[in-house]
Amino acid sequence: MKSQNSKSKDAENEALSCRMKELLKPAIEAQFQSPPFLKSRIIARLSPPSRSTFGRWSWVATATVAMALVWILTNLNFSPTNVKVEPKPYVIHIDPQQLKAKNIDQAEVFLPDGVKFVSKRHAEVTLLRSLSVSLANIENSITNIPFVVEAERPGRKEIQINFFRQGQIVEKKIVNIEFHKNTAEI
Amino acid sequence: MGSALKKQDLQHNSELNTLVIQAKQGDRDSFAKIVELTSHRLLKFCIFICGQKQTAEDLVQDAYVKAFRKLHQLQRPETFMGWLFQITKNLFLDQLRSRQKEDQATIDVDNDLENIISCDPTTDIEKLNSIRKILLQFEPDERLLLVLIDIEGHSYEEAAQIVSKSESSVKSNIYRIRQEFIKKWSDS
Repeated sequence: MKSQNSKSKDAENEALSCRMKELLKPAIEAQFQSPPFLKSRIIARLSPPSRSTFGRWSWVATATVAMALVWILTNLNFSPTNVKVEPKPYVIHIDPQQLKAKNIDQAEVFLPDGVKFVSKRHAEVTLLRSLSVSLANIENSITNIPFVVEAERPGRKEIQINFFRQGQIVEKKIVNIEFHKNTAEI
Repeated sequence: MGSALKKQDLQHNSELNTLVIQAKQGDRDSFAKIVELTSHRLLKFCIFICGQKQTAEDLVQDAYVKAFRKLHQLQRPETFMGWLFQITKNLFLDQLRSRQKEDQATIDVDNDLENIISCDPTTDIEKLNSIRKILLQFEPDERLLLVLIDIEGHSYEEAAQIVSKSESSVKSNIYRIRQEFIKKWSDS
């Protein structure tokens, strides 16, 4: 009796499933396109694999580091700034089409001390304090230019972006990022 | 046609398995290719469970980053997709819990899907929008089941593994959720 009930419920569930397939057809068939910089953003967030150079004396180094850590923890006041946190990249999004609509032809991002640019393909940007992007030649299909930034330690930092029209600054924007908490977006 | 599709699926799966094995050894380029191959599917799942483009994209990013960091724990490369969905589901529920704690649990159901996603131009946006709005009326764990089984096409067994429940409980829950969905659809 019980198994008959369960069989009839299974059959009913299958009928419901068919009805759902009809109703949800547009959702089942929908092909969503990933945003253009999704992969770059993910890769930027993957920390590089750690490389050990300790060799066979690694246990000595580990013990020394552990002792130093114990000393630091017992001799220093504990505060969040003393904690070394693994750097987490953040992305500043710039929409070139919106800027072009305002006749802005160049944007320049300036970093404060303790913050650096991060790029897997162009590792050299880490050394730069500012990055400039000329909007004139950017295709209309590109609606997002991401700048990946990373701070040495947690805390609030101000990033300045200047917008230019024919070489003249027409607008300044300050982006406040609480590092290690949220993604900043403008 | 069917066998051609199956052959394509098999090729895709075997390519994915190879990439997962390489990525497990720390190869970031292989992981980048995995993202390329699978992100559209994960994004679709996230858009339907979150209902918002930005939240969905953030969830996709977080899920891949977590997957890369935990890849060494994955025992069978062929289970990668299910494992990735499980990571995404856990992150989604964790984020909801933390937002509820911060009293920021807001879901914007008024935004039209047309404005928040870019999809195939032949897609019936109006119907997609109705589906999304009805989905958002369900509890997150109910929504997850519905999207996993009836949109993503996972079996009851796969869905049970992803949501960490028994297959029988998944079957009885989806029965009730489907009935409710059909009722809400007729009422709308």
